Amino acid sequence: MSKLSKDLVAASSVPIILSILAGGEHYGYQIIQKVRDVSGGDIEWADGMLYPILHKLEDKGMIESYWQVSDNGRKRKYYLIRPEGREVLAVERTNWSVIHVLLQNLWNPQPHSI
Amino acid sequence: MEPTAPFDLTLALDGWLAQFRQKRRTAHRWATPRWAAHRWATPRLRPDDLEELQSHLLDQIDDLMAGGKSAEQAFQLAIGQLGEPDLLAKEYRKVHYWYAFRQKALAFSRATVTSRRIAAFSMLFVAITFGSIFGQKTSDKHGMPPNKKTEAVKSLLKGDTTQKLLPNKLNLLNQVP
Repeated sequence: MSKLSKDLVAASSVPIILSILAGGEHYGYQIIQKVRDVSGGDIEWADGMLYPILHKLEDKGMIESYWQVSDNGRKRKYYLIRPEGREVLAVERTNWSVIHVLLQNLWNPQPHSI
Repeated sequence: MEPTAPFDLTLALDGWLAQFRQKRRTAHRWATPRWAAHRWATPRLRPDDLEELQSHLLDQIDDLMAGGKSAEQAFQLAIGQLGEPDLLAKEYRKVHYWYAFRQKALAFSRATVTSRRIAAFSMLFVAITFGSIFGQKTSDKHGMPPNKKTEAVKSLLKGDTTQKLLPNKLNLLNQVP
């Protein structure tokens, strides 16, 4: 499978990040690893680009962060979703589902729908 | 052939992150002398952001080294994966606009103060230089002392009535109630 286009990756980054954080708090590197694992390597982010997006979501009040020192003494910034973020995620899910259904219908036309 | 120094990961990381601590001279290159460049230098990323990037790089380097890469290979792969530094700084600037703006304003005010000092010293130097050159020339050319007014006053006071009348005038002034 070919890699996803830059625009599509950029457009889907917010729902992807919010979906991961809805499952629990993560730090940046963990989010990137999770995206890589779940997509099977099809989604390639320039890792550094994740952080400005996270900060933007934090500014908008969708997520929050805190620093914590790990067992190996390394400081990590953890992100967690806020109720406002969950609301945005619900809207994003609806929107992406609409697009998904639309494309499914266009590519696999049912006899009764045409 | 000289032996190559062993790869120092801490040094390499610090060096790579340093480019985000200071902005390189680009936009003001034409207007800023090299010695004053540091006055225009503004941090591109907040200290918090740098710490987060460093933590990310260290995590990735650990994983790559666990997969069999050398420290140097892991470092190169990790910074490559992080993205183009200029693009990265640009993205951060979009989000932390006010931080970038404040840093720029501070740098500008520092540079302005320096420029004003330089301008003041330059003007003083020019004034002293030109004053001494032209003052000397005027005196030589006309064979006259430079301050004509002083001489004129002196000639008026020398032996004429003005000098004799002056004490009388002062007495009259003292008599006024």
